[in-house]
Amino acid sequence: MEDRIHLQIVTAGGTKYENYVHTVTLPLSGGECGILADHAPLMGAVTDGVVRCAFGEDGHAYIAVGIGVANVVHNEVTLLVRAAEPAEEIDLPRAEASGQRARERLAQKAAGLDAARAEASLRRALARQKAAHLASEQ
Amino acid sequence: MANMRAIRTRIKSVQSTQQITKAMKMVAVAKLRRTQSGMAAMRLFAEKSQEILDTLLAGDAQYDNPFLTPRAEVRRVCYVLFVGNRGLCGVYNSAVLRYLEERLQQDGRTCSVVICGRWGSEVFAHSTLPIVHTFPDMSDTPTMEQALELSEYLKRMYLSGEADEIHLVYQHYRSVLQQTPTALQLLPAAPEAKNEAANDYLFEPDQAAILENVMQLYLNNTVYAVMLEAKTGEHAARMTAMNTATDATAELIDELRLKLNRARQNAITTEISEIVGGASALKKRE
Repeated sequence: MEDRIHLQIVTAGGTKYENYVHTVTLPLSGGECGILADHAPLMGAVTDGVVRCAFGEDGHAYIAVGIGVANVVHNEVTLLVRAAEPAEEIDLPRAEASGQRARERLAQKAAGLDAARAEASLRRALARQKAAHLASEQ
Repeated sequence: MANMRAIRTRIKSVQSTQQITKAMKMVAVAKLRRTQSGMAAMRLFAEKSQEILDTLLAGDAQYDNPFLTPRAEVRRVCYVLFVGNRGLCGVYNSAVLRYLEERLQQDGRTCSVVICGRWGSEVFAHSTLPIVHTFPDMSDTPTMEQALELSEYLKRMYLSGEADEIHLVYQHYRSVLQQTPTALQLLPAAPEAKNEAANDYLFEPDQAAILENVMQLYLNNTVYAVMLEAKTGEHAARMTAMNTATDATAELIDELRLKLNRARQNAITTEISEIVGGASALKKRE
């Protein structure tokens, strides 16, 4: 029996990450969700966060993703997301700077729409920081 | 002699024009390749999102998604016009503009226009188009960030009720040699879905929330795809136009060379006949 899952993270710019993994944890809007091989067909709303996966003897990968949708069927996990960045490619100082900017904008109590946009950009920055930290702890 | 000098200067100036058109053609070819590879990269995403939409919209489930439900009364329509950043690409820009003007004339509802691209600020200044916004900073090889900016703007416009329908007007890319002006309805969206029976999927948290995310992606993606397609068409049109221009200058140079040679031959003939005439006159005297 195949005990691996084919994980594919796709954005409009092309495939950002692809691998055969043993477990994958997805940041769904209702909380994190771990997927093992032979999972029942599942469709989930992905929110800004970190996709974690483990493969081989001791392999780990962390990918920061934006909002989107995950499709789990027949040991195939496909994520369609607005943006995706593997931890190695994340520029940590830049992520921290953009998080700081978003916080400042929120502190100024920007009204209505602007606040929503600042929050969204803060969430994205935090997700990228988290992915980078998780990867560096390895 | 003055004639010959004039022709020589003319040839030089045509040659430098030819150099410019050649260079512009090469640039257009390079940019065309880049936008084409962008279009290819998008194909996988489009296929996968179609699969997901098929599953979500399977059966006859009805969703209360603001992007999907058509408004009962459509009073205000917004047209988004995609033009290039500059001219020198044949009828590419003017054809799509004419197409939009015809659409606006036929459309009896209140219309507004959003322009994407730098071309034609003077043309638009004198026109009667009801322009509400311009995005002049569309690069020649569009990025997702630019598409997001535009699509977020359009979504806000739709949700706030400034527009009840949004159409994208652009040059549909058929081939390098052929582009046709087209309109595509962006909002309310009507994604095509095959009507297959839903299989035993689990939905987390529920179908409506997933659909909301999918719709966001779908809209961003459609805008990005149209931007890429319009730009690909622009580069292809410019490449063709510059190719024709280079050929035309080559022809002109050939013609001028012929003229120059004739003039030179004429001058030589005159000179020889003068010498011969002079020589024979001297002989007679002897």
